[in-house]
Amino acid sequence: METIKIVIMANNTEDLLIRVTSLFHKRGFRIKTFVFDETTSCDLVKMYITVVCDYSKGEQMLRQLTKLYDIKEADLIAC
Amino acid sequence: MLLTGSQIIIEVLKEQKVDVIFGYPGGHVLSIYDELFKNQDRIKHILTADEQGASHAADGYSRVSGEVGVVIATSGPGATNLVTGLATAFSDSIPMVAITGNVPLRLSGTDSFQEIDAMSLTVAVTKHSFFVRNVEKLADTMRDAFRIAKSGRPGPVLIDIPHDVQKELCTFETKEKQQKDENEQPPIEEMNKAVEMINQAKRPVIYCGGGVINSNSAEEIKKLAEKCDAYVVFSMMGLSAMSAEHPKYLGMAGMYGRQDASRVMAQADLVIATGVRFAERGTGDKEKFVEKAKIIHLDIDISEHGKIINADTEITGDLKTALKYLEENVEQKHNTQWSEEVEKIKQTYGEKPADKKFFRPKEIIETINKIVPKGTAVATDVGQHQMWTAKYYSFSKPRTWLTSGGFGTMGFGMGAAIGAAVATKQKTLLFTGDGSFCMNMNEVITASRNNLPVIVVILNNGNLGMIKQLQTFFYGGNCFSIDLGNKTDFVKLADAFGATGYRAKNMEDLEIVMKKALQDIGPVIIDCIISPEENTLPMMPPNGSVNNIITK
Ligand SMILES: Cc1ncc(C[n+]2csc(CCOP(=O)(O)OP(=O)(O)O)c2C)c(N)n1
Repeated sequence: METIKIVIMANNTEDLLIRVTSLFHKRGFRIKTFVFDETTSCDLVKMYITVVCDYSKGEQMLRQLTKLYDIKEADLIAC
Repeated sequence: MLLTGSQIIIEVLKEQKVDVIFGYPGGHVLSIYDELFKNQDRIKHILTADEQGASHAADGYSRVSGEVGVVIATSGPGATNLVTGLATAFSDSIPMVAITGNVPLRLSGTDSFQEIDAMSLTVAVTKHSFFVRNVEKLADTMRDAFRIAKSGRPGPVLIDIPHDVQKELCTFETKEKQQKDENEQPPIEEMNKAVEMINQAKRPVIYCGGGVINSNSAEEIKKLAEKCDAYVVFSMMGLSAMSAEHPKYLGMAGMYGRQDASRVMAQADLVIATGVRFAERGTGDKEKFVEKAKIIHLDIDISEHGKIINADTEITGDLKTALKYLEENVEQKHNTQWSEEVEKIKQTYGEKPADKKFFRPKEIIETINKIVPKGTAVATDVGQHQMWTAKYYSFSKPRTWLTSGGFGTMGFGMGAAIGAAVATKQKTLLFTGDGSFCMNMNEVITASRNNLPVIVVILNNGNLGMIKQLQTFFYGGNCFSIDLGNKTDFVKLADAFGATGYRAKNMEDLEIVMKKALQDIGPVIIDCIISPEENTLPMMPPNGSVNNIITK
């Protein structure tokens, strides 16, 4: 188990947060920290999420996240 | 063209070549229903008994036709009634579009009558959902919904439209039917690796899932099986991807699958897993699953790779293209020794032939199978009867098998059969249990009203057979809450609902009434009285393997 940071760039839709957090819950993750911020483009937001899990589970989560319609980019960073 | 939101909904549905929708009216979709009224010659609306039935019907319509099924419901209870149907379609990757009305925006967020946040409600059971605040976005949102539903790995999409948005005016321009996104092309290096693995394999098995049906790749599977001389095994969702008469067909493996199919898989040195997600009902204990085999996993959805099984080669992308490439590039093989071994396994562990002296599920299903025309669509509910049908019915072509594989929804069958009958306009079979049927028999009313040729075969064992079986084997025989103590007379019930009812207690009865049922107009219910003691065996215990299959 390690702390993993997931960085997401997404469309700033009203349902984005609920989709992202519900996906974490569905896949059995407990979110440790969560930062939600604007970007210079007002249509896009950035999220920084940390979770504690096996790296491979983090990779699987990343694949699930990228399937969300409004997520443009997602990356995994081992901290 | 200046149109109202509701008119736009109709126009976009027409643009998407939708001819039939299933639904149920209510206060906040009345504006849409008014347009449906005016467009009856363009779109047929089928009123069901409830919204769950409508959602399963749209799902069933999609499963047999390959088109996007459409369901419409009102806000509040209309939307909540859709949830099980959406979840069922989501689990089995069925493309569907659900339209719900909602309270006008000025009331939104005030807990007004029949208000529900349908979008949040359906986050966990849809591929995506939309809440349309602005009529100017309505047409493109709907087009997007169709695109998302059918692109990549298909699934249900919900569009929630407030009542005032349905009434607002907006300019509208017709577009072409929304095409699905191009599927990702499978990577050549990985495919070449797979070709190499197949060429080296001496005991190959192809493991087909629902992805084969969704991608219309049945022909490719057959050709690949013949070229690399592999046997073909199925998950529940993959059944019908190959004619059961094909010599390489082995049927469904897994928890309630055929023992020979599971055992052959366990002996394989290569498993070519196509459009299958290694759900635990199919694999059992994943550590013991196909221990001796290397695995090639082909799927359109990258997140299925490494989710449960780490394959030796993962191919993400269009299944049809990948299968074609493999077939064209592998050597023609003759795995004679493997075939001999498999034939032996089949002889030892294969199903014993039916014995018409008995009136048992196997005999019933096989007999009906012989009487109905080839290619008849077959739906089921959930329970023992579902497993028996999966095991004993010989499917001859894809998109003729409708079952709730992933979600296991009792109550799916009648709605699904209605959807299939509407799509095919042909006789459609439903095998159900007396428990499941009681969850959705209200939809017989829909079938009667529309004269739909659905033949319902109730394998009536007087109890919740599957639960009884599990309690018998795993809970010390404490069979509880399973006795349906049926006082319901399903034949009379058929009559009350405007359908035709028959009862069969033995094979002769069944053959006679089944032939009649094929001549009858509208829905028919055949109540088959079977023993309450039947089990669906063999059974691999949960998280089990071929080493601990229960046979009696
Ligand atoms: C909506 C729903 N509730 C409960 C279950 C759990 N369940 C699975 S099989 C089954 C019994 C089904 O009984 P019946 O329809 O009579 O079929 P049989 O097993 O007797 O063939 C139950 C209760 C389910 N799958 N779906």
